[in-house]
Amino acid sequence: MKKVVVACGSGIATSTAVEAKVKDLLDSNGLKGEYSIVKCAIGDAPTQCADADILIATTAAPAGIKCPYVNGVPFLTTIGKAAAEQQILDVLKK
Amino acid sequence: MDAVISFFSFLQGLGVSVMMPIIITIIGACLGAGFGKSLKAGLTVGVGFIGLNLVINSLFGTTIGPAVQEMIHRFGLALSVIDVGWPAGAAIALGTTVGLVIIPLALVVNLLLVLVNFTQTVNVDIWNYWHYAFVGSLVANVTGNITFGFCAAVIDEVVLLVLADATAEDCQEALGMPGVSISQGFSLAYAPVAWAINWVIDRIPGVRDIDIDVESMQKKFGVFGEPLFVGTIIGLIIGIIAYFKPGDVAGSIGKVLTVAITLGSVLVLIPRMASLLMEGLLPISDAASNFIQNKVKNRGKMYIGLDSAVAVGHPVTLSLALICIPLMVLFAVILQPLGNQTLPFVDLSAGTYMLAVAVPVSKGNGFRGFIIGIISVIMGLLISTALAPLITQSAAQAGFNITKAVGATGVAGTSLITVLSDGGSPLSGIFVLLSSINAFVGLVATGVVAVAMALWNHKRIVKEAKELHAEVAAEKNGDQA
Repeated sequence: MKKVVVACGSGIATSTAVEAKVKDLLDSNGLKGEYSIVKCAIGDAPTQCADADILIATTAAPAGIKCPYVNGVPFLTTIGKAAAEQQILDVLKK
Repeated sequence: MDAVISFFSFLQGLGVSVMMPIIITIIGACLGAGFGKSLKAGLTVGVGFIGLNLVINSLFGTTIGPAVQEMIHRFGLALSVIDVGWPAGAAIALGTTVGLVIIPLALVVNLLLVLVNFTQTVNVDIWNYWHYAFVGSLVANVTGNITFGFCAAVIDEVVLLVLADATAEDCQEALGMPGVSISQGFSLAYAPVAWAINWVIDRIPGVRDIDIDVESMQKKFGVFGEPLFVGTIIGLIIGIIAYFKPGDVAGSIGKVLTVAITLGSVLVLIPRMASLLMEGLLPISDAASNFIQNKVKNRGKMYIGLDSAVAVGHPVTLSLALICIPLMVLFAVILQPLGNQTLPFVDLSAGTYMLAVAVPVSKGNGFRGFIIGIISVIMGLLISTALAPLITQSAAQAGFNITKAVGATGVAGTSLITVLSDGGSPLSGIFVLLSSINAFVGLVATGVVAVAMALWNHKRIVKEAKELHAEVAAEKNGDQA
């Protein structure tokens, strides 16, 4: 089971939007049931990421993150979305 | 117009948790999200409203209200207005009459403004349209006329879109995100404040060169920035002030801890419920942003307007926001003689949003961010106190019966709530102040400012487009040579 952390400023708005899109992406790439998503505020991300496989955040990566980080903003703007999707799949399909 | 208003009053009469699912389903279907998907979205929004209502009505009513009341009585404090925070503020705003139509209305206004080059920002952040509705509903309450409310919401949108354009370059540079602007109504309201303070500081020799390193503070606070801890600690303090009796430790400790755990729960539960609202709005937001992005394709330089959540990751912003938490409590107490009655609570963490645009505008200077933070906190407390009766009225319209819940203590004076963030924003303050002088004065004054800002922006956009064309032409010539 891979742990995916999705974070934004407060863990309420933009992270919900990104979470839904990441779910669609992973499910349509045959990863259904192989991951769990945790949504949180960026302040909680360092704690949540301690045992995570990837952090997708709509903010810059906070200090002290050890897992791979992918910028989630392309999911909001759709600019560069394909590249971000590929990055996520590369990390999780390993 | 009368028929439209009576139709909306009918919908309102159904209660927000019934009406919102209907409205969301209709809007979703109209924007082409599909009926099934829209219905699910609508029902999820209903769940969010019911959940928020449960948290606000029962937890605030049974535990927090009485504790705050007791605290005020024992120590003669004036902090009787409870801050329910922006997640509840969003629900309140969307549940008012202005909130009902804000999504289609703001979408159309944004589209028109882009087409006439009054703005470059395409605000795809549909969720944050509630900020417009928030201001609109306050003006509707203060003037007693819903038409003024709608106008104020539109004027607010115009002002905010121009501010989004004006701050875009600073934000892009600070955040390393080309092509975006921050369009969220609360963060942008502090851009003019930041400009004014920077203007003053730039003119004071010595002071203008000060910068302080605030980033290292972030690590020291660490875990205490988490909402669960913040809520529990504040709860513990309120609990001790309200109920602790040195003569009866065993008897009072239970009450103290109940308040602590309850406040911790509220800070965790309110965001969870607001997150359900967001989840419900998501298909609508996707459909709406597709709709608007398709309509403005092939135009000049455009910015995609995003939530300031993308900007709070700035290390200076994060650190200063943590410093703002104790400052809010401190100022709430010492500003009582000046009329503050707001008891900061859910929006204690709103410093992040207060500074999300202000810090990039100040080029990431820690000292200036700190000064802006202090001034914003003071303004926020005083404005949110002044606006509390109107916000409580909006909340009642949206089906959050605060008076009943908090008033259950049987003591008068506890029945007001406020929203420290949006209810304390200078923009909300100005709209309400002008409208309370006279409804037409408010409309004309804010309208004139908005039009002037839009025209200024128009000139800038056209000039920029000309330069862009000139550059492209020059490059072509250069290639030939």
